[in-house]
Amino acid sequence: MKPQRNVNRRQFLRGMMAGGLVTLHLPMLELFMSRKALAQDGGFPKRFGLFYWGNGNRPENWVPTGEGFGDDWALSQSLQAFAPVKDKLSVISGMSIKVRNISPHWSGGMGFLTGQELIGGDGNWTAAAPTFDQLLAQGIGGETVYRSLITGCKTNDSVSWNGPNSRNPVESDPYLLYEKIFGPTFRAPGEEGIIDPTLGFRRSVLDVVREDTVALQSQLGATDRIRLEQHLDGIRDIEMRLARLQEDPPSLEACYRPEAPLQEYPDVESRPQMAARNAAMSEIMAMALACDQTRVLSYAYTSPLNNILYDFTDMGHHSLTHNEQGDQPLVQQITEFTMEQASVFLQALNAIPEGDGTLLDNCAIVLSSEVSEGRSHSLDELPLLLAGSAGGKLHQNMHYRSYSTENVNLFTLSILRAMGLNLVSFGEDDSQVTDGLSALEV
Amino acid sequence: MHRSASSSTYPFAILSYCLLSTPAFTIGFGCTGDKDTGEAQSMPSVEPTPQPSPPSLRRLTISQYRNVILDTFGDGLLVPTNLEPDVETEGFKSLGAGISSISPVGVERYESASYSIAEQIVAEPDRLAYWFACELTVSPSQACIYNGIDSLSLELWRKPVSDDQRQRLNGLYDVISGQTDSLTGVEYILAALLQSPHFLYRTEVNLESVTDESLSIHQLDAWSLASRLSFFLWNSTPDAELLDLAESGELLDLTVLESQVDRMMLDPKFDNGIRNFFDEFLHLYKLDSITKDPLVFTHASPDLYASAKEETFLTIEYILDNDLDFRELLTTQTSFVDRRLASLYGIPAPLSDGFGEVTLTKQNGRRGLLTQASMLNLHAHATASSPTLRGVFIRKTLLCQPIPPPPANVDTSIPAATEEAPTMRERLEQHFEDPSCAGCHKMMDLVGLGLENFDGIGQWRDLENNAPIDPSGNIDGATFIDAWEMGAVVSEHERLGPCLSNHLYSYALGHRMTDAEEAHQDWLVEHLFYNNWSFTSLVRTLVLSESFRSHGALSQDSDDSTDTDEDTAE
Repeated sequence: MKPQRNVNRRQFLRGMMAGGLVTLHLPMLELFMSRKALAQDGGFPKRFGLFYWGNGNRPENWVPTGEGFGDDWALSQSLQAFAPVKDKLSVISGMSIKVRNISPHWSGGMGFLTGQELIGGDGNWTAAAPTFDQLLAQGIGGETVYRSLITGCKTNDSVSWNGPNSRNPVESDPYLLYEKIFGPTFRAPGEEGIIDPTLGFRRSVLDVVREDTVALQSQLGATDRIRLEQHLDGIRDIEMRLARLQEDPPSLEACYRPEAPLQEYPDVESRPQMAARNAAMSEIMAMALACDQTRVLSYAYTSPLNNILYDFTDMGHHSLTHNEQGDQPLVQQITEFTMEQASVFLQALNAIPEGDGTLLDNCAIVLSSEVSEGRSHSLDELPLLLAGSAGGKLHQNMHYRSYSTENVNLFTLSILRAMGLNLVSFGEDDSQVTDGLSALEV
Repeated sequence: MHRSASSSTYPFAILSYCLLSTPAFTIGFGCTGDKDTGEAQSMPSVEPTPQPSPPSLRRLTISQYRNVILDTFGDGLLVPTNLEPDVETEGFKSLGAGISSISPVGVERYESASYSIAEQIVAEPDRLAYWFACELTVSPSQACIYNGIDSLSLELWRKPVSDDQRQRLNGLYDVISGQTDSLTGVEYILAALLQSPHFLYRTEVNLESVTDESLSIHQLDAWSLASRLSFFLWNSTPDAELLDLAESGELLDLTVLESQVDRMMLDPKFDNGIRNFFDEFLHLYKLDSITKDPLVFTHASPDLYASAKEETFLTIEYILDNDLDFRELLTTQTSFVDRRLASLYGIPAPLSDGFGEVTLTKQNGRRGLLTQASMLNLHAHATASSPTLRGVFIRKTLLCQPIPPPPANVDTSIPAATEEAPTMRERLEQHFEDPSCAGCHKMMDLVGLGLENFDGIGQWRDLENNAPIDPSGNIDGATFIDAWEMGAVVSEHERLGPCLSNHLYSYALGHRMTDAEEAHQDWLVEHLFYNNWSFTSLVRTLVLSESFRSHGALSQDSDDSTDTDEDTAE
């Protein structure tokens, strides 16, 4: 963050009178505006989160016993870790990603997250459309400091795309994520604001950059104009953020500045400290939602195709899915460990009170992977979980079993609509759906 | 280390350049199937008519961003690397830079980097003395500041500012300096220049002619040419001499251009340019984030991968500095190792710290690029070697032979080692019994198995599971008995020259060579053969070609790209 220079108030006020070609942005004017009403439907904002892991699962150990609600279904071997939050969890089994499986791992990941087949070619696969977290960022992300947070536990690659050839960078370092959200610019509810003239200066700079960008755009071909439009989107996001920083923080009771994580979580014998990293990330992400810094999260706990070594494996995860023989007990162990970490994340959300319930109740957290069985790259029998109810819009504590390999886009459309997007359809061509999964909707 | 670009080492390059304008030397080129292609010395033909692609913005890669800042403002600055990540297209960041769109987080990171750099620069105002003739700390005249902003923006944007831009920048300075002081005003100007798309993207368009829609080929203007030249040869921004020649327009003169190219290839920055090409071509940057299991490989460490990368760079520089036949990269017994690599290779360590030149012997079993630790580590698993990955690298990257991804919904597991099948070769052969896998896997694995004497980090082994390793094989009919010979077989493969030319052309122009441009691949190969596989001559031929100096018509609306989320309104 830009350090403040010594500008006294008199100089500052004098500056306000200065005219000229360049607009000077005045932090004061917005300082006393309060944040837009938080309440939607008379309650708390709805938040979305994706918990994504790579390389699938062992499908035969995944599907719960029984169907329906509450005690009518029981957690499977792979899902035991969710016992503390079973009442907030729904399992949707038997769904399918309905795209051609032309590139193992990539097809499934893109197929689920964008609802349609990927485009490009070998060495350059890319998303044909924005991933659905970014549809939500555009739709409901405008009122918070960050439209969305794109995070990871141990990965260099996010699973969030703005569209073709535009992937969002990932923040996998707990300390950097903490600094970004809860660093010097963060104000807890009730904390006094500061008049920081540099925020106004930065907005003046952005004005110049924006005008330059628009002027350049007019000289370029169609493709490059679109690319620069996305640059302009980024500029607008910063402008919005600078304005937000000068507003009063929302008064959410559960919000406080959490403790900083460790500065580093070094690998131990090439094995990342997955549990420690995930616990730290989970705490920060949960509080980022509680403090309404963002309402949209895309958390790539691990990425498609990852080859992470675990304490209990002597081969990377992806290699193991292809090389472990028989029932693949080590692959199974990784799945169970991964679900433990997912449960830690859900429990962090569930520990934060909001109204009569918890933060998790006001969330829709989707948990899934890019394939079902890693060994065969299958797109049927997709591992798919939902936690939270999006403020009462979605069923919890349910096992829904599809017996007709239904299109997973039905599920996604239900989630997006529950979050407040009025979408006519989701997906393209053969994968397109116009209805949600009614069993899921309250 | 200076490349020897004097005319004495470039006789063929200069001759061939002279021939460009001599249509009489159009000689049929039919030796692509001939093993002895390297010996063919037929006169190269004239350059085919350029079929340039539409211009496209190329975002600076992270390494270019760094080089530009340091070359402009001097060493000693801490340049942020937490920027929008580079996008790899077929391993090339320079290709991804031409098609990717920036993310909102990326724009934010550029903003933050601009302030970090600007703050460091104004903390040492001497860094600005080149552009600002006045003392910035003692109420400088407005005229002096405005002049400084003009020349600084020309340097950072690699082209002059327009009147509108000048007004905006001067106005920004006035507003901010009016409330603070002149140095702070300049600090924000710096930030604005560094956030501008004119800095972050290379435009490389002839703005004068491009509006003429009747033209399908446009000559780069002098500014764009200076930029394309310097980013290709130096991986950095044009220096003052290039900018001067761009301003006067002299750079468009072929004689001037030629002497500039020679000057640039003698400059130490040419090493950066060469290293960057091979970094992307051979995916060496992936060594920065590689993981090996230390419980399996006791030699594994991040330091090892850094040393391995340096060995490959030094070997490439050895080939280029001596202007050797480029194919020797695959067979050379000369290498450069430090103590760490010497220990891994089981050869005597250099006497002093750092890297020393060594001559590898047949006894050692190791020679050439394919047997270097960089390649052997990159193309292997965390806990084991991988004939498949090594074969893919040779096929796809070195020979440009396409390999389709594995079909979905097949069991891809390799059988475990047993007493009957103790080595990887035997286990893979079982795998070949599945016809849906066999075609591609034979293509990859029968090549990669030639490197099986090297484990997952590149250490020699005779046995796997106590059984002897058989490293023999063949590539498209040419047989080898071990890795020592395999390098020679790859070096004589007919696809090597075309593939290298294709990669270099694509890298330089920022897009994968299109079908329409393929005549240029053949043409570059002719020059490569004619110049005895001199890599620097190939570079020189390319930068002096018409293709390098031109671009196609602007892309038009209508395409289906980036359809926005029109039906996602709240």
